[in-house]
Amino acid sequence: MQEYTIREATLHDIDFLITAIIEAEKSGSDILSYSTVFNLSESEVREMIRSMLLEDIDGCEFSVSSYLIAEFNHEPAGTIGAWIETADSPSKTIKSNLLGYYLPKATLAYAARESMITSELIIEHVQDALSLVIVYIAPGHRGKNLFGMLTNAHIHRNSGVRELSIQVMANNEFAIHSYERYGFKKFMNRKCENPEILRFLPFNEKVLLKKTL
Amino acid sequence: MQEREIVEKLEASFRKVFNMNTLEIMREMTANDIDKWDSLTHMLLISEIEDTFEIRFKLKELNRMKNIGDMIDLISEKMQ
Repeated sequence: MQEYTIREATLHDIDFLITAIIEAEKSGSDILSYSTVFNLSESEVREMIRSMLLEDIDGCEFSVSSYLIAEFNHEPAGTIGAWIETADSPSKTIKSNLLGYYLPKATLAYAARESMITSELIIEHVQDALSLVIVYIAPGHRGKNLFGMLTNAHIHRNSGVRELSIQVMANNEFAIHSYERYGFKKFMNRKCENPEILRFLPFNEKVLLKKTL
Repeated sequence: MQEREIVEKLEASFRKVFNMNTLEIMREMTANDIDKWDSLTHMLLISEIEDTFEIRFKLKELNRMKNIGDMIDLISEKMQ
């Protein structure tokens, strides 16, 4: 009987990681924020994410080194991206340096004009906690506790970590239930009452959950 | 360009991006010191600085900047 194995992601996993990032961003909807905020097609977003992953810079969701892969029968079945957030190298800066470098200037002007409302749902990463950021389990492998296996492996990889954090859109009840079953508790939420935000994001409310180890 | 002139122009860029007319920048300030300094405004800020000083940052230069002081030093280096 085949079993799942956990390993570090490599550059050979880039196509799977791109799908993971895009599906996690969509949060079960058809809205891809990188498309709506910057006025790009999904294929343009895919290529931009590929370029950023190939830079191989550590410390954010566009870093191959952030990901562990659950593999089944030599094929990737799921992944979680995670890192310990530090004050001297915040992931938001690493991420926006990459995005800003690869985005055409015109798309930034579009974002400045149209999409600033999305900032209202930003929740800062928890300092010194292990932030789980991109969670993606491929169809056919769901319900097999890959979230738990991958999270345990990330904890093992970051020995000494005392706290986990994860953010999710508030309407993603399946994900929230999975996280709570693992021991996460809702810590705070952020909501935007302006319906305009639904032009850019899958939902108007985000939740931060934490778990103390 | 003298550092004083760089700081004045940089401060104007910050005030424009963050829409804060009285914002004063200091060398040791980081993204954690300005409320609106998030992922999106960071990109807009870098783009505004590049346009203002007519320079283009390399990715490794961007990742080297840990605070506004680093930003001033890098701009100064690139203006020479």
